[in-house]
Amino acid sequence: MTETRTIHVNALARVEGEGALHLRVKNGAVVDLRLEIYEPPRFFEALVRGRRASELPDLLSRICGICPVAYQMSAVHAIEAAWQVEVHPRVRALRRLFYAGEWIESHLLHMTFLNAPDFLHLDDGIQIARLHRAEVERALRLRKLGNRILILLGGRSVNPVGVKIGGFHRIPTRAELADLGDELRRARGEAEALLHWFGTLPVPSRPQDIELVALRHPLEYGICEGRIVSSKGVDVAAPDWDTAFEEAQVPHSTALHARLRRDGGRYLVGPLARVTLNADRLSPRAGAARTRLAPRFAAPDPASSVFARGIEVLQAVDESIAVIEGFEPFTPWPDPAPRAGVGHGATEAPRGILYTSVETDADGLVRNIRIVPPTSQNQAQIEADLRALAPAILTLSNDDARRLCEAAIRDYDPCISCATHFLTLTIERRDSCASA
Amino acid sequence: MRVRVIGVGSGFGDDAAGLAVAELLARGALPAQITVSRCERPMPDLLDALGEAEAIVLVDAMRSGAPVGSVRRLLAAEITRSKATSSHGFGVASALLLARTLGSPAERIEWVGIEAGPRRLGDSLSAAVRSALPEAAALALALAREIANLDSRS
Repeated sequence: MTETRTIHVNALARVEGEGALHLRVKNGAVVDLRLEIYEPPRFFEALVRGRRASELPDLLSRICGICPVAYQMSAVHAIEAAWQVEVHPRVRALRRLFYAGEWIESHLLHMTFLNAPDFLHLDDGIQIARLHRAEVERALRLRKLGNRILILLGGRSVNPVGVKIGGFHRIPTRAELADLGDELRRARGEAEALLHWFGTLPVPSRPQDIELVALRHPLEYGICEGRIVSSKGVDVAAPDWDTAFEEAQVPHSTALHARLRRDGGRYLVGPLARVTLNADRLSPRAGAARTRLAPRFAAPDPASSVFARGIEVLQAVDESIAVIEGFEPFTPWPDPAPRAGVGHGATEAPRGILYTSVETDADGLVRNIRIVPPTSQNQAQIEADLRALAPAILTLSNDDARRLCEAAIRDYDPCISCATHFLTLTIERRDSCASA
Repeated sequence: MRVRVIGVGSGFGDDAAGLAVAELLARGALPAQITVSRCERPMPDLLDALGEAEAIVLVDAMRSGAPVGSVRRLLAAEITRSKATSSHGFGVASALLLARTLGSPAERIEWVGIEAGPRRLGDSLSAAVRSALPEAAALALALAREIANLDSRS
């Protein structure tokens, strides 16, 4: 008997942006699978050409309402490399704090409102709030701290405007940071308790052979700087991104797919990759949490990403406290002089490495820019993960099949607006016996 | 009772109507019991406000089929929650429902809607919506005064 089953999810729910899933299975084997990103391209790389590079932090923060800091940070690092700007260690420290704020906010929103409903077989975060009010309130209190960090350094939490090439427009006062530091110290226990709660949930397991890619810094947990390394031998500096990776257009997606230049293979960026490749760079508390969850990290398992995010919330809280405790006030210095050149930046967005290269002319105008967001890098891996789910899908009802596929996609926290909402499911069955 | 007037919007086209009303109100003298703020992202900004305020007047662009620039007080039952549940698409109605689920202290929530024109890019309001801003601001302020138990003529 031949059975062909087509599952088409017109709009994926609880992901960031517009995407769909098309899956066709015949005799238990996947014959067609497409994660379709149909969100229209926004042409940011073209529209900033000819603008002053100094405008890029504000312009690029508009790419995403969830991870604007990542776009700002990768771009300023690229410009600073092109203009040979030496960044003051105190600016470096404040950038880690700024980024930590974004990680805290993004990770908690995803864990609580997008991911947790999957583990509890609920439809949305509202139902989670009804049934697990204390945990949702805890997540929201923690998230608010991330928001405070973003406002303090970015001027506002939505599309922040505080970043400039070489530093920040305004340096916070010692008193502002001290108050934030007190709250962050109190929040450590909350972050641990929240991660513990997630540990009690029936989180599924899908270990698989995945090449993990993350920034690796000699001393720190890789956030803004470091070499791009993989679990299978990639080890390049940001300027050499093109020697290890390449992008390709696929017909079904408005986002480019990235792949390994070595063999055209897929890879994974994001919290799971970071926590795995940088376990020895975690803070003692975050490291201890990872040790408690060690079985979940024995092999790369996209479903364990929720735990990686929880560990990184702890890490981000600890990073923030460390920056605040070491803070010495300073005065912002004059803006660096532009020069003609090309620079590259790779920083760790909440969803993984965001690579940016910028070319400017001698007047500091942008001649070219290239932005490779994490979600486009993860697309091939997401499709491979879904392909492996096909045998399980065949035994499920249409509704359960849709839920399983959507939950698997959500494990990656794809930010489709950056690179891809809700699925009307159509299943086409063709039975050769019946049709004969 | 203290009242917070919140202008909601995104900054694009007529969707910025609520933000523009908040700016208009903030430029005038307000009674001590009434504060005005902007909200560009219901999750988390509106959620935070709902966790703190006793009473709220929300001003937002609406699509009701009325002529563009029409201003009116909305009833809570008229607000429908979108099914789009990404955190990008977490709307005002979802934020309200979540806040209520979490025990928001807000005793009273009023809505003022301004009919928006067709969706478009750019940061400028349509002429019809721009000319409706004073009326929307006046309605929001009158509602806030009534909730705060202030004489609306003072």
